[in-house]
Amino acid sequence: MAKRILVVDDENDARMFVKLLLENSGFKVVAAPGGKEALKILKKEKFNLVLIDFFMPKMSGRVLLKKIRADNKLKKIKCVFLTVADFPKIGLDMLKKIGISDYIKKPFDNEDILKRVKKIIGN
Amino acid sequence: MNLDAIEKILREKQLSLLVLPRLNYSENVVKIVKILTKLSNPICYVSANKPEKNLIEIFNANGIDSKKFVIIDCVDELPPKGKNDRTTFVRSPANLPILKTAIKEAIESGAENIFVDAISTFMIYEEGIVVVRFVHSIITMIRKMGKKCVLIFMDGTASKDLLDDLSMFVDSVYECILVDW
Repeated sequence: MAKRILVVDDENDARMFVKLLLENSGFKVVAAPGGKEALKILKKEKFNLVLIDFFMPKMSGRVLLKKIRADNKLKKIKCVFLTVADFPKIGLDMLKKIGISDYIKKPFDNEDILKRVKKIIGN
Repeated sequence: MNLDAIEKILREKQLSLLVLPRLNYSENVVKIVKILTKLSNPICYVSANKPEKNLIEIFNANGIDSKKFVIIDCVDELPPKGKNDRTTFVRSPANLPILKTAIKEAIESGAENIFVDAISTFMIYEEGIVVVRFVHSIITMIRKMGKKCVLIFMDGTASKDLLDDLSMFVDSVYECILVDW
């Protein structure tokens, strides 16, 4: 059965790009434009991985992750940040502490995204 | 922790975030600025809380040489007439793209350290994540240009979540508590 991924990004182009890329590689992908919508979807459906944009309005990626980790039913789900940011040591330590599996740099490199996603959840 | 600890951070870290209590905020900023003037000059002072005129009065009253600063005034909507070589008027804390250009020009004109008083004030005028994005963008620029930056965050003026978001991009976070002073 295909692995399921939720992509959360307020930028429509970026969200659809990642969705199509992953679907073409055999993953089942659902997309959400923000943290609030993502939480609604996560409560109804099961996913193997959540890809979260860091710089989202209203609810930042870090806050969404915090809410996921605070929910007993969701807290073990694997999460990866999508971001233009470079994190210094303090940021990397915080990522580790909040349980992020990896982060994928924007602008996207197709092979890099697929490699990292497959490393975390398999094909 | 005390002023010595802050001096150590400012000396050693390229990008620092200092969280100050609201009580005696201005006095504490002056203490930090005094430390900074010992460490690197000139300093680009980004003021989101006080107009240039008041800032210079405070410098003079506290024995701080205002010639060590280039000032970016984000407060004064109607800046004084006549040219002032050391001050750029951004006119509003909401003018983030203009502010970024002003910081870049200040660095290109020789500023070694960027002091932002206070990053939390910008969050009153813009959505928090817009300010976090802005901070990431100026921090990336400052790192590339090999300069230093001190961001002041006034405790209680923006959410803890935004403070945590900002904290991810700096080299050091120091939360000053009242007993420090």
